[in-house]
Amino acid sequence: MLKNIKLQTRLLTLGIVVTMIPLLVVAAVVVFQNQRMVAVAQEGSTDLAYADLDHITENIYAMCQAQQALLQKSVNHALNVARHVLNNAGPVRFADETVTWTAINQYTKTSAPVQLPKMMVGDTWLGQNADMGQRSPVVDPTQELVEGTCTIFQRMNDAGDMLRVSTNVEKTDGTRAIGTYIPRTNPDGTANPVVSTVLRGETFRGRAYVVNQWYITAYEPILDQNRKVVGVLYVGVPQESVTSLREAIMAAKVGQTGYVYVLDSKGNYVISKDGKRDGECIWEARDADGTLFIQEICKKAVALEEGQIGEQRYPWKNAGDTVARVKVARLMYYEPWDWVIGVGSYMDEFFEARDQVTEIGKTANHLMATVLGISLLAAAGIWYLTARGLAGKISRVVAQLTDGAEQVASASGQVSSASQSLAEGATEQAAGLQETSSSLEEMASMTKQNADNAQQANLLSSEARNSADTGAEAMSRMNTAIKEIQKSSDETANIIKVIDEIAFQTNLLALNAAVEAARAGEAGKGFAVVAEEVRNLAMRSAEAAKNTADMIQGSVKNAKNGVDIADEVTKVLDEIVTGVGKATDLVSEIAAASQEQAQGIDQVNTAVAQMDKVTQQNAANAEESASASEQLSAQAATMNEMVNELAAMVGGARSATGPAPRRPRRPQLSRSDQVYHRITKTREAGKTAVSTAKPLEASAEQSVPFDDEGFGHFNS
Amino acid sequence: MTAAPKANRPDQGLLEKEGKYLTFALAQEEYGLEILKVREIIGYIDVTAVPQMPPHVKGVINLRGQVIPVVDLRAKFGMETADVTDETCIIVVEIAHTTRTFSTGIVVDRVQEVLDIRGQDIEEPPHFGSAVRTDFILGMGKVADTVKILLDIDKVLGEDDLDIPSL
Repeated sequence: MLKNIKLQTRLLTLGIVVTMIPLLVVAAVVVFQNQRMVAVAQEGSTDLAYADLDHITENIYAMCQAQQALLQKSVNHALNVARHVLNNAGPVRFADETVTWTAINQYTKTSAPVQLPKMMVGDTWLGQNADMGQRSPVVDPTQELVEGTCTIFQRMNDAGDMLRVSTNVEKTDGTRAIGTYIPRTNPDGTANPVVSTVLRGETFRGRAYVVNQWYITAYEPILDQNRKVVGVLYVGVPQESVTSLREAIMAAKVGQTGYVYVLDSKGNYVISKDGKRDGECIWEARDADGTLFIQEICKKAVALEEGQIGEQRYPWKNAGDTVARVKVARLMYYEPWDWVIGVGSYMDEFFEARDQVTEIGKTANHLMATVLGISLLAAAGIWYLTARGLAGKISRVVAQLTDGAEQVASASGQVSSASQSLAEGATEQAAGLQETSSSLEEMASMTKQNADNAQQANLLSSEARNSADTGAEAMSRMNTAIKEIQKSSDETANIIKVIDEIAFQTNLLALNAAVEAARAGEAGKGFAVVAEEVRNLAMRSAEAAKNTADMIQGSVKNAKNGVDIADEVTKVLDEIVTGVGKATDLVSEIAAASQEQAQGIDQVNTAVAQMDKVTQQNAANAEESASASEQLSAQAATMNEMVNELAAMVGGARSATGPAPRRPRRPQLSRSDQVYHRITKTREAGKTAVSTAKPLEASAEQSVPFDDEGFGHFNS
Repeated sequence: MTAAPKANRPDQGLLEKEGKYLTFALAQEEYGLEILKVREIIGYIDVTAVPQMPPHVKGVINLRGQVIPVVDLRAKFGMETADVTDETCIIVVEIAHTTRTFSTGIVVDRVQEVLDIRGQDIEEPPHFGSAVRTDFILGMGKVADTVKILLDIDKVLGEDDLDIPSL
């Protein structure tokens, strides 16, 4: 089924999926991370906001602590000073005189007159001075020194009620706050801690609300000589004598509109926003849900441990707000002062950063979605184009592959047939080589004979030459002899010439004699005869000389003839010698040539042997190539199948367009085997075997197993 | 010079010319000289050439202390000169010129013999063209099958004014 889906579609789908999955994953991751980030940011900003709140709260707490410490020190100093002043003023004693006091319980404000002895310091009565303008002893100097309130209490009774007899505490009406007393027992029945402590003889340190403000106080028992507590020396430093704390608290900004406020545990404003509602009791205040949140705050705060921060959230709706907004307050309780420190603001102000982060997160999400959408479209478009192009290309490639597979198949067929013909050719070649080899052997023997003959001829011609040389030598000797003959003939001729000359001269002489005889006339006749005879004689000798000369001439001629002939013979002998020499040269050349021929034949033999080897090699190679071509055919078939698969995949249900895969031809192997057999057979058949280029028949019966000789040739 | 005795027979008109003649050859032709005119026959000896001589005068020779002019008869007769051979001889003749007799040598190719020629064998020289002007020729001598031209040497050599002072 899947196969029918076109490659293009698959590519498209796959591509889009592949493109989108990461994108989606990324988007999901981003969104997730975004969420987390937003959450973290929210948390973080929340934490920051809370941390901010906490820090502000802690700071204020710390400031209170610092202030308290300072004040305590200040009080201690003031106490010391007061004590000093008191002691300097003189020992405390009571005069016998009494004065009437209107003692007012400082809590219940009930008054009762009481008579008490005058309290004296040294000789000075502390007086009943309520006039701020008038100087009270001890307390005023103390104030001058330490700027704190100072009061001297007198013990009213055994219970321990302490009456203020001298003080520099100013009431709201401007008078000194004398006449009030601290009862031993509080209105709620509990023992007043101040009195209790003092009566024990210890100094009470604590906070007290005097007249209209809180003071850090120290109540030191005044002891008489009997070490009985007869009074109390009080110094007090206003809790807010340093106004910077209050200012700081009022100036503290929390968030945008938040502020710091301080309540006491009873729900009264100690420090309100901008100081507008200081002292107001908001115990019964309710939040937008109606909860008595101030009470809750106070309860929580009081329950806090030192340094612990508590929290209160409540919805609040100001007048003029359309909806209630949740406010959050961080609480700390500074016990020494009974201060419930509240640092609060609208929650939504804190979470401005968080909201922004959320906004950003949302924006990012939207962006992601948009990008995702665009990517999807783009991916779809690109992948569509790509898929189309790719599918088209692949189709083309497939077509080409199909063609190629076809061609490969046909080529492999050609190769196999070529290797087959190569094998056959190798066979023929082997046979031909055999012939050549036998011819060569004949030639070799012939050549050997030739060489032998040439050798013999050489010897004969040498002998002939020797004979010719001998002949020539004899000829030359003959020449010499004839020359000698010639010489003697010449000499003889010379002599004859001499005789001739003599004859001539004699003739002349005879003639002269005849002339003289003729001149002599008669008397010379006999002389004339003699002259005549002499002349005859001369003639005869001349003739004889002439004859001899002729004969000698003849002999010389003969000799010359002989010489000529000898020369001829010599020439001929020379020619013979030359001819013989040439013949010898030729023969030796023939011999050398025969030698070379023999060598050449050897080389040719070697070459033929090599060719034989090569032929065998060829046959082996032909077999290899036949099997390789068979493999090639198989591979081509496989390739064809694969190409068909590919075509099917690309074209969907398109049928295979390639040619049917060919079966590899099995008979190739046995054919090349045949080649081997043929080669070995021709070898065995002898030197004069003539190969017949008959077509080989592929029948199993002809596959004769190798014998050792065949193998021997094979493995050479 | 002593003249030979002459016979006075009419057909032997040339009888006076009979006598011994020295025959010599000059090229193809054979000539004869009166024997009495011949003083001596010598073989050829080197001739000393004398300048400014006519071509037929070859020069002079020293014959036993006597300087004798030599004439080449061939040149004299206008024949071409020939080389000197073994048979070349110089015939010393005595010629009478005016009042003096002096010897002159003539170079001939071959000296043959002294022939005794009878008068009847001597003919008058024909008067037609021959190599020699007829006045030089005493006659034609018939000897066997040959004809020898008998020269009058005086005439042959006397024509020219040799004017060589004889020693």
